[in-house]
Amino acid sequence: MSMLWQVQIKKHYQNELHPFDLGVQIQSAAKNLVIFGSSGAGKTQVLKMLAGLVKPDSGFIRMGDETLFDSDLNINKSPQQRSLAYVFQDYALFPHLTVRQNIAFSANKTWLNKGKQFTNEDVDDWMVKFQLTHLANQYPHQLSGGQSQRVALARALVSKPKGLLLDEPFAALDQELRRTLRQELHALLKQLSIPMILISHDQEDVNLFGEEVISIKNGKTI
Amino acid sequence: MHEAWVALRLTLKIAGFATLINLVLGVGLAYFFSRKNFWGKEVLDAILTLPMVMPPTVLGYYLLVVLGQQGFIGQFLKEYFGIHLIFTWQGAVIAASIVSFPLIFKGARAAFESLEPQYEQAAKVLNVSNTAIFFRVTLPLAWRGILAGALLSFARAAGEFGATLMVAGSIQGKTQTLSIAVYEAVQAGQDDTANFLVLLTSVVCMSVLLVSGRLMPGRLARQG
Repeated sequence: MSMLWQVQIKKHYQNELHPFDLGVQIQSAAKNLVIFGSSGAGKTQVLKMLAGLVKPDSGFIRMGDETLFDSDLNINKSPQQRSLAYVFQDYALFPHLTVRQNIAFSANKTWLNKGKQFTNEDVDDWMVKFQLTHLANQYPHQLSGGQSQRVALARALVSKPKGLLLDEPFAALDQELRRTLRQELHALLKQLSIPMILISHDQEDVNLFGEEVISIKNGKTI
Repeated sequence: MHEAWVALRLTLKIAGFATLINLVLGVGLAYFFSRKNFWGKEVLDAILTLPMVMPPTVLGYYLLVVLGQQGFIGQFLKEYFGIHLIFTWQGAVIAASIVSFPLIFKGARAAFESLEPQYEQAAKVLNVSNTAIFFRVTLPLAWRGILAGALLSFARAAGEFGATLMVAGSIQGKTQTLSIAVYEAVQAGQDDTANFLVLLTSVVCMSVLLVSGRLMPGRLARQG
């Protein structure tokens, strides 16, 4: 079977007290991949390198036939060119925009934000699917944790990404909600045809989402 | 009292143009400084901040040397464009811009640097161009700091005295701003005029402060 992810990356973090060396290798054909490790293991850095937000010192990142990064060939595609949607741990919803403006963000390619009514078919569809229609004109600071997460996901999916990267999607939620939302997200993701990588330090996430699990400890794959 | 209104109009015109110039240059440079690292960055930052601590007369002298008939920019402008800047209101705009530049530059740089990087990162992975991200995410989120800097910069430009006097002189109706008119009135012993000018200046300053309070959008204020 052909590999979906082929990753071999290294990066040195200079810090006088705790210098940190990241060295990660991933070979996987799994559509749903979980990167597992305790906090501080370097999981988020790996995910940001995949998305193109952090540049590794050396190595390569391939997704299917596409090379996203290769230090030998001097290839480093921008996050925009990679079009891998990244859902941040605390969602990073734009605080100055409403729910609908957040979700429709990538549908507008101009230099200025559109008004609160701007929408298109995709935006409407995802808002219905994620039960966000009644929140369209709310601002992020008015939303609950679960609502914020659905907005962040809908915003990511409207950009029609080639893959979905989820950074600890449940870490910002309390225990009770986490259980409900985990099931909810699992059901939603099953409808998607794009590959997903989720990072987590929670064994429950691994059990539910991971077709394949990669463990990271102290910046190294084990 | 007609001269007082002429002086007020001139003051607002000069401070307005100076603030516009600083908004473009100051915000642009502040963004560049907050995002890029390059050799000599902090030295350049210090040079750009110098007008805040240097005596305005010294700045005015520098400007005279550079922009005057013998100065290299002055000569160039005169030869190729036929422009004289010394003793004109445009010269006063340049003096006011330079004196008030650090206020908007510092304010905008602090505003850009205090932004959480993840908002810009979130916009990047949504496949939106970097220019669009600047106008749609960075600028709206840094707006309050930039506005505060712009108002301070406007107030500083409107109150400019030393550098303006050196570069543009005190020509009534042409380069005589409020602060210079106050000085001239006191020198000439015209107490009535001086009183009126001082009162007018105080009202203008108070208005700037009140407008700045109203301009701060309530929704964004709550988030801060």
